[in-house]
Amino acid sequence: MLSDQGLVTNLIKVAPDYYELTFRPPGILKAVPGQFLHLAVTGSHDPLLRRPLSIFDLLEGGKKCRLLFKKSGRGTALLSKFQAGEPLDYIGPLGNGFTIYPGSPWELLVAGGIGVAPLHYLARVLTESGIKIVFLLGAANRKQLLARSSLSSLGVEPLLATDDGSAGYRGTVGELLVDYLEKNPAPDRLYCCGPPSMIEQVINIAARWKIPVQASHEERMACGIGACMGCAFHHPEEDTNPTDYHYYRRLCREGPVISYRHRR
Amino acid sequence: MTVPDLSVEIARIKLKNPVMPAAGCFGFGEEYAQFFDLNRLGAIVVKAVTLKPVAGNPPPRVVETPSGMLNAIGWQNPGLERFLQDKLPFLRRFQVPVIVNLAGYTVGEYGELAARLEGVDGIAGLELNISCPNVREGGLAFGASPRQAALVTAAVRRNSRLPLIVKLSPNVTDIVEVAEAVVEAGAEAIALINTLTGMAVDLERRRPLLGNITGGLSGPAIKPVALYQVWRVAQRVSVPVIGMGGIASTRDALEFILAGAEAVAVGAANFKEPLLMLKIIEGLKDYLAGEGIDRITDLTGKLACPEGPPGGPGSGGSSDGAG
Ligand SMILES: Cc1cc2nc3c(=O)[nH]c(=O)nc-3n(C[C@H](O)[C@H](O)[C@H](O)COP(=O)(O)OP(=O)(O)OC[C@H]3O[C@@H](n4cnc5c(N)ncnc54)[C@H](O)[C@@H]3O)c2cc1C
Ligand SMILES: Cc1cc2nc3c(=O)[nH]c(=O)nc-3n(C[C@H](O)[C@H](O)[C@H](O)COP(=O)(O)O)c2cc1C
Ligand code: FES
Repeated sequence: MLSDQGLVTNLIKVAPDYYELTFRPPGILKAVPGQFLHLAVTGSHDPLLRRPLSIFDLLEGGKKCRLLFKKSGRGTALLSKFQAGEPLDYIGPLGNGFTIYPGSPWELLVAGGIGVAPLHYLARVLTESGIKIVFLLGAANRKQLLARSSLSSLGVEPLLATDDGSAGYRGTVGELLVDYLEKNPAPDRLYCCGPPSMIEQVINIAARWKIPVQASHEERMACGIGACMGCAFHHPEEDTNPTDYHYYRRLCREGPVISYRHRR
Repeated sequence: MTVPDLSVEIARIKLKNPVMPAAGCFGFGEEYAQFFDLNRLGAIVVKAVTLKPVAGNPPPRVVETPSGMLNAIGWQNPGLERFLQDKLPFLRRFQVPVIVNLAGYTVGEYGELAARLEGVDGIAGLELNISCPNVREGGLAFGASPRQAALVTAAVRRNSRLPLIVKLSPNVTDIVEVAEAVVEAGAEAIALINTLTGMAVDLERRRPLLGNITGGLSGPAIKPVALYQVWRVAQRVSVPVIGMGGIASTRDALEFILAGAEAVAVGAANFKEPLLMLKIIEGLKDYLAGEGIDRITDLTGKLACPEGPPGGPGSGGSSDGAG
């Protein structure tokens, strides 16, 4: 069954307003990187809806799961108060997840801010199957460059960008990506996650180099399982008619990972 | 002691228990079938089906509000043809009455939908959605006036012998007038309430939060309004009432039943608790057993009110009792 109750084992603040929650699923949680969990942040009906969070890490063969989140409103504030020993009610894993190419020699991952969450788990799965990783990590400032030590323990040393120049390249991770692509061979594809403006920037850059992109998007969700049609997402590369039934896809089912092939 | 009897009959449809999903909150059943055996439900009510496929409204389509949510899905659905081809075969696998929620932009469309569903295997009844606040024409326009509502109901009645439920909007001056009009025109049951029109504002960006600007409010926040409307309508019409609006527990379901609902539907609360309807079915059984009541129908409309109509002549208050 998709709906389960885990046990919180740890919750720590990793930066101002950023938290990492570790829990043990009741059995073994199997998930593809890019999939998410739909979490109940309270036992009551206020707030009414669950909150979607990407799987940040899955360890010990699926017996331990980590989530990384930003306190950005009421639901995530409640989640930041969870304590070790408390149950965690979740539905999942949900969504499509990233497509992985097992024979690939290396991959390029580009993360902005909290967008590092799904890409971190992707980095684990890729490195564990012997694929080399180039990881570009951007944030507003040094403090918000998340998951660096965890990436480091996977043997991944990210190239950094900060808007204020407090660490690494001064500028956006998109600008860092341009810099990287100008100096290095282009990858067969790139994976990305971050705020909408960052994803858009990365897709536009990748289009110039004709690099296909797999981007993990966000949209407001109610059910999270494909039943309510609440999480409508229109793929800009699709030339469906705005009146066509398929004009919008469900981001919780046919996403959150969307593939861009720059066909237009 | 015998097992309490949860069965009810609504619009000639026999239900083994009075609990069903609210239209649009359960898709076409496929997703929730991953969580539980749909055979356990009293009925399955599917998402609004229109004659032609509909793309729906631009995102964001859902916004959470205190104890509730706004939605502006805008009838996104594959259309009648693909519903019959792709969705109905799955639903036929279950031994549960399937009720199809119908939505149209014109009276003629409702009539045609009904005609095309006549005699189709696996459909137990029709629920006319004349009360959706999320589409510009049709929907709410029909639900807002007793005359229009009756026209739509009659058009469907002419073309179909299927059990006919009409779902009403709370966004009207007097819901009882609309209820009476549709019963007169052939409705065999009334479902209520659909969502309450509302909106939400993004202060930072100084924009509406919903892509459609306005949406429909549902969830526990609307329960008092829903209870009131169900109570009023149930007293005035002779046909059974299916009550909904904010039901999130067994207790909520029982309150609607006392207020006059023969059956209840669960909408937005499913999103939080996919197993909620099963919990409510079990909870109803336990409640009846605990109270020594044999049949759920023994509770229907058994709300004990003080003598005299509230806010009626002589009560001295305004009609809603407020202020
Ligand atoms: C597939 C997916 C994966 C995500 N993964 C992560 C992650 O790993 N870490 C992380 O910090 N955040 C992630 N998010 C964003 C996260 O879901 C929101 O930050 C969170 O729901 C905000 O809830 P809130 O109650 O704190 O904020 P509020 O603003 O109070 O929330 C109000 C409502 O809006 C919704 N909402 C608000 N912001 C977002 C948003 N950006 N995306 C979707 N819904 C939103 C909430 O779910 C809630 O229903 C993800 C979103 C999606 C869709
Ligand atoms: C996402 C969503 C979609 C809905 N779609 C429909 C629909 O297609 N047809 C309909 O008659 N009502 C629709 N409704 C209204 C519900 O069936 C129900 O009347 C209303 O939500 C009140 O119940 P609740 O508070 O339990 O959600 C929808 C509600 C929601 C939240
Ligand atoms: S959130 Fe309900 S369909 Fe995606």
